[in-house]
Amino acid sequence: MLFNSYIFVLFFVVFASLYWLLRYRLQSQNLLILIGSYIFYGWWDERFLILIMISTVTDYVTALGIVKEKPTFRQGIGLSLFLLLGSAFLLSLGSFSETAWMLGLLFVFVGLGWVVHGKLMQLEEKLRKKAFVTVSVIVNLGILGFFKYFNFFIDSFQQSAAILGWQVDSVTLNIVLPVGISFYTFQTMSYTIDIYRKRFKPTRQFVEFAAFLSFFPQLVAGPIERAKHLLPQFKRLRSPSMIDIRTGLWLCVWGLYKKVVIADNLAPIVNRVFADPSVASSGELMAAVLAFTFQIYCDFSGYSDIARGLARMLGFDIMLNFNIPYIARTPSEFWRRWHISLSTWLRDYLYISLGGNRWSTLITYRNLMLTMLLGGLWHGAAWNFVLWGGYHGLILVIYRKLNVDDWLSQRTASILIQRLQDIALIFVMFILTLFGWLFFRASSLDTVWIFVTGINTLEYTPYLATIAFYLWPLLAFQALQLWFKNLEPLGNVNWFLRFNIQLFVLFSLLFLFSQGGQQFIYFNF
Amino acid sequence: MKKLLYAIFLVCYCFVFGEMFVRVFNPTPLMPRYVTAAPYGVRMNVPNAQYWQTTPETQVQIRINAQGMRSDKEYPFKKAEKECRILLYGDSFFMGYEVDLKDSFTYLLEQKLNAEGYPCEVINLAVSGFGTAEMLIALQNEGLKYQPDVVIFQWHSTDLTDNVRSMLFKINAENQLVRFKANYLPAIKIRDWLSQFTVYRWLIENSQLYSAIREAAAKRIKAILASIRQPNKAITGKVKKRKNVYPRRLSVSLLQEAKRISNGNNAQFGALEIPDRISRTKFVSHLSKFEPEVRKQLNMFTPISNFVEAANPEVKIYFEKGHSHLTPYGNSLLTEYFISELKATNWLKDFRIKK
Repeated sequence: MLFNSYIFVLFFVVFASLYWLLRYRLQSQNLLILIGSYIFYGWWDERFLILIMISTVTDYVTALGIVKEKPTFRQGIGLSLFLLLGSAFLLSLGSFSETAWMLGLLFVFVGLGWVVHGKLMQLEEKLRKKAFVTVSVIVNLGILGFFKYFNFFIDSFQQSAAILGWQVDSVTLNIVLPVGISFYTFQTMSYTIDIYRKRFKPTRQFVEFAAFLSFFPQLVAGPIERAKHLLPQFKRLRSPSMIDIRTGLWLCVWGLYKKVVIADNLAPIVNRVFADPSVASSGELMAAVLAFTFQIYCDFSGYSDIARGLARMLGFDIMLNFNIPYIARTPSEFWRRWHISLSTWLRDYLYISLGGNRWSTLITYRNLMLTMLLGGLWHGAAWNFVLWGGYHGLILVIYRKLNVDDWLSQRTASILIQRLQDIALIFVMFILTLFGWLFFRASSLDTVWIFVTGINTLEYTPYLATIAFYLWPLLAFQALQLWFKNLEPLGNVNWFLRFNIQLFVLFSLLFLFSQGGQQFIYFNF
Repeated sequence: MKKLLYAIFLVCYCFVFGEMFVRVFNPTPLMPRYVTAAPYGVRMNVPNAQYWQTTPETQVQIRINAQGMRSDKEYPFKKAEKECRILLYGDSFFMGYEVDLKDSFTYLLEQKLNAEGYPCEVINLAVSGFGTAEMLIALQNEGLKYQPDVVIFQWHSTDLTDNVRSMLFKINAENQLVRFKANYLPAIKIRDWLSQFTVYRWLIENSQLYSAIREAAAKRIKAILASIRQPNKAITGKVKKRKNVYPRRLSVSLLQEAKRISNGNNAQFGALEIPDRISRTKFVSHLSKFEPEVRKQLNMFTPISNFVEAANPEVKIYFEKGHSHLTPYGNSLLTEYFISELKATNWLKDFRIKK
């Protein structure tokens, strides 16, 4: 279900009513979240719910295993049945040709699970912990790797082999990418790894864990939550206040505005120019990159806002994912403002695991590059994302080499000079970011080259007027956010201005919504 | 009391804000149309109505005479001796929406014919929204009383679906055209009721907010209907691919019937297409959907080659920011084309006054 569809509105109204009726029953409410989330996800493709169920059961059991706990025998049977009967039910819904062997495979998986679990529980403490967390990582990355990267690696391998003169038979499979797989896989991995790192205690409540993993507001496109932050919220009664509901609703409306009014109206410019950049003028090429820069921001941050707004209306707090990223002065600041939930995840579970900046400068640079390359690859199985990641890794390294962040924190010039320096740095960083998005959006290096050589003069194009028409309200709102140093500045302004802003956004949603009805870009990642 | 006043103020403020918002960020054409029920079950223009149509490109006054025609004069049923009469049936294109009366096809046609020595009266019986089925019923019940020498039906691609949707006629198992429903008066009751209120009439002629809401609502409803219908489409994909020939068969039968009764009343019959606009220089004719013999038998004309020839990226043949009707230039092109076709038919040669 898409947040910007009528069916979702209907779904949420029904869901929220039931949720409210169950407000004093925590377990029932968690069960409702689980069922609602499964319907939400299954609406798109019910078969892939099985993957979420596999991750859920695996991480529930391995997390307990790490702390030497295990499900009771009855629970074990229950979990096995949940997986097997649930999958059988889901597979029976569609006319899926591979049902029999899929069920066979799941049967083997469950059987193997029992045997392996028994063996691992007998290992000594250190080995057992390591073994369980490894099983969790292998299962999760295995699913992710197979569904997202299998064809990519086989293709790349074939191409490299062909260059070396080997003929390798084609084994690529017709694999569909399950929506949101990169998001929930990372979320669940953070759970077992945190338990392994003794940051957090595993839960014994299966329903609450399953609901945490599939929580529909952030299931398919983040923010990638941490168990430490989100899971405890499933353990206590949630009582959203009127303020929560009001501000949550506004977050949804504002997120929807960013998506359907700004991003979707900029999309045609981007699509038209990127479809055939060789015929576009210098101004049009520039406008297309600028349009994409804001399209992807509004698309993705709009989704995050809606996710946070929905969660808030249900009494949950979900982490911030975007913090006005285009005013970043340095690359490291950019990553503290852009897709915060992913960059902190990569920092905590990849960069730090690689050693972070504890060793030599060279190793720090290597770690930065590796983290960013893999971060790029996380977005999709394509070389342009790897290049984009590599590009950002490179500018991180260069800024680090130049000590820009240290210089910023230690400068002693007057405020006015500091502000001017900030503006210059923001400008440079913004241009660097624009260039990065070119890698991200282009389908090939040839396209990048057409842009790089094609943008040679500054010239006006009517596209710029369109961009300005849709962008100024966003910039004005961000100015308010900066002025009040509050990402939700509506509480800071007087009621009349607030009323006007709200009316403006509502009328825009009514009259300026794009008729294209674009999917969220980050669904593909 | 204070609270009530406060609430009233806020509501009024919302309307003013919305009106200003629409005018600045989303200028919307104001295209009121006043139609009501004719005694024979289809729509007609409200007699003596006068209203303004305003778009970012033009502002025109529509004046309807006492007989429900867009004209400044009345027409007796009995025509003058030695004069010819051409009856036009069509929708908003023939009505001349978005252009002044003197720039409309009807007016230009009459002027041009008179100038070339044909003493003809052109009577415009077009009603916005009409399809072939409604034109046929109006012709039977009203039009023939005017003793026409030539009857021209406007043809537009939307007629194919309009004729099916109105359900006024059907083709039965014996392949015959039969009358099915007695009435087709969509939203007429509510329109009639609303039109008594000055506020409503003022709103549809002056409020861009009202127009924009109506248009946005229509779009949303279509989107919802499409999203509901989509799953079925996927399942019945094969059915969708099969060409549905019924709308075309029905339309041909309706035109044939119009020709039959016109000829039966000593009038010639023809159909004149308004092509669809793709861009300023590209247009589409849908007459190719009909077999050549049918087109010939029904005297179907299309000005597409004249439009293409006259097309120029700098010149508008159709309006672009309103409701896409013909511009004055488009109307004059249509007139020129149609006069040359009329001459070629020799239908009017007996009326010509030799100078």
